[in-house]
Amino acid sequence: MKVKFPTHCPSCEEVLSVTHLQCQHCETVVQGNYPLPIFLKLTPKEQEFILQFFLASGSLKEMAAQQGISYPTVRNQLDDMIQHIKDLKI
Amino acid sequence: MKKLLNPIEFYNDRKLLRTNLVIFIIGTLLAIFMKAVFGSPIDLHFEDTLVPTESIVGNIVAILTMTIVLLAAGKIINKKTRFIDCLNLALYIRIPYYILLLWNITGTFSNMKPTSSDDSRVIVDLPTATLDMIILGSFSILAIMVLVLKGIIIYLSFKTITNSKKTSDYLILIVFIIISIIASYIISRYI
Repeated sequence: MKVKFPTHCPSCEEVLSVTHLQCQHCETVVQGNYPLPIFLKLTPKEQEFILQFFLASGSLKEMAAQQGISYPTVRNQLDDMIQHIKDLKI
Repeated sequence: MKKLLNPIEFYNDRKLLRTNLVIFIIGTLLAIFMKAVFGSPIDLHFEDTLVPTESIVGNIVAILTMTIVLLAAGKIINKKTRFIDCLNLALYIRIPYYILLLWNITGTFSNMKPTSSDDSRVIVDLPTATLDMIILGSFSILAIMVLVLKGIIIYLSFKTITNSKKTSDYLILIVFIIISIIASYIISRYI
């Protein structure tokens, strides 16, 4: 079963941070307060888009052909993601 | 259905353009044989004789003005708006009109062409035959449906072309379309 990575608090919907890291080998635990990287703050769909964009060597046309949609649709998805990332950085 | 209402969202631009151009040629030929003239992007009327030049020029002017309008409105909203997408949309929204042309297959509308009498009165011979009345009635209903369909296609496709999200984006488009209707009507009158 693929477990969904939680990025937002189920109670107040604020962005979560990492406070606990554990070595799976020796079980050493590190505690602190680390903010999530931008990539992990994106939705699974957006993360998948970035991965596909990378695998298609950054070609939106190739991505469109692979997904069976048009170039403007893929470009709009990218523009929406850029805006989302800009909003997250603020 | 979704693909028919917004082909620009799904189909490759070049493949769509090739298909649209083939349909444009068929539609223009049909317009010639049905004695139809397109005065503006929303106008369609029938003549009593064959007017090939007017049929061809009218259709081209209607498509080009619509393309320019979509591109101009699109560039204001989103600088990444592409010419090929606007041209594809302008060509695609002509298709319902080509279907409407078939309603003049019996010459009902050509026979209704107004004529001027000696005392400057305009005379229109209204049809009396049952078949003509059915054609007139069904054409009226279908023409309204075609206009609504055109509106839906433009709304959905323009959203894809420009990534519009605000109501003001569509207001810009509406203003530009009204200008295009007036402009292409004037252009087609003088060419």
